[in-house]
Amino acid sequence: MTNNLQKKKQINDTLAKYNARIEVVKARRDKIIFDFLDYLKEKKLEKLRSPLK
Amino acid sequence: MESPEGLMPTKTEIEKAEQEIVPKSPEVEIAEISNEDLEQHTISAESHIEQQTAEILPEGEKRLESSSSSMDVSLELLDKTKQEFGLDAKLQEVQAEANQIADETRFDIKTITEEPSKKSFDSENLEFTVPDRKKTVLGFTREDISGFIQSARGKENIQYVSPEGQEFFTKYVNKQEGMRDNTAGL
Repeated sequence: MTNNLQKKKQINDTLAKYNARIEVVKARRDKIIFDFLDYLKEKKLEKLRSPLK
Repeated sequence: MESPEGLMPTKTEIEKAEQEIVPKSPEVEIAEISNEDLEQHTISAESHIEQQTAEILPEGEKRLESSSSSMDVSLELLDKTKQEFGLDAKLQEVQAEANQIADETRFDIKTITEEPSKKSFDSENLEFTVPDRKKTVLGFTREDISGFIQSARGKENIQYVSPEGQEFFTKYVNKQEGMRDNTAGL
């Protein structure tokens, strides 16, 4: 394999690793947002309940 | 090319060796990519990283907006809850992690592209420049242990290890004409 082809393959491998790692980060972001929306739902219900107390 | 029987060879041994080292096989020519192609590939890779990394926060905010708007909550409650939850800080942390991954990847790509050229085929000069083609012969392993100074001087220090574990050291010197000369074996 030529040097440039080797480099291209190495870049592709590096990029594949990046994509895998960034997907984990995105999943963490989505989990944070999901948890926040859950928390927001609770807060909304709390607020709705409070005038009844 | 062989000379007619009984005549002296028209090529020197070195020329013959060069001919052997530079096969014009279609496989090699098809497999080769130019420096420009590699550069373009690198730019595309870096652009992909840039884009992916930059989208982490805006994409998250978009998702948050679309979900929270369907919940019918006031802006006041939304802001207050964000603060209590520490949403911004958490998302900033995620963005910082994405930036770090991007920096590491960019560094790796830079390292790959700036690697000293030890290519087997130089497409611009149409010649092989590998100083050594014996790396896999008889199960020997080969390691290039030359430093920066050797590389700058066109020399290479190569260590071979036999299947039995015996180590051999060889110094190669590239002559100006681009021919290989094994000057020493210690």
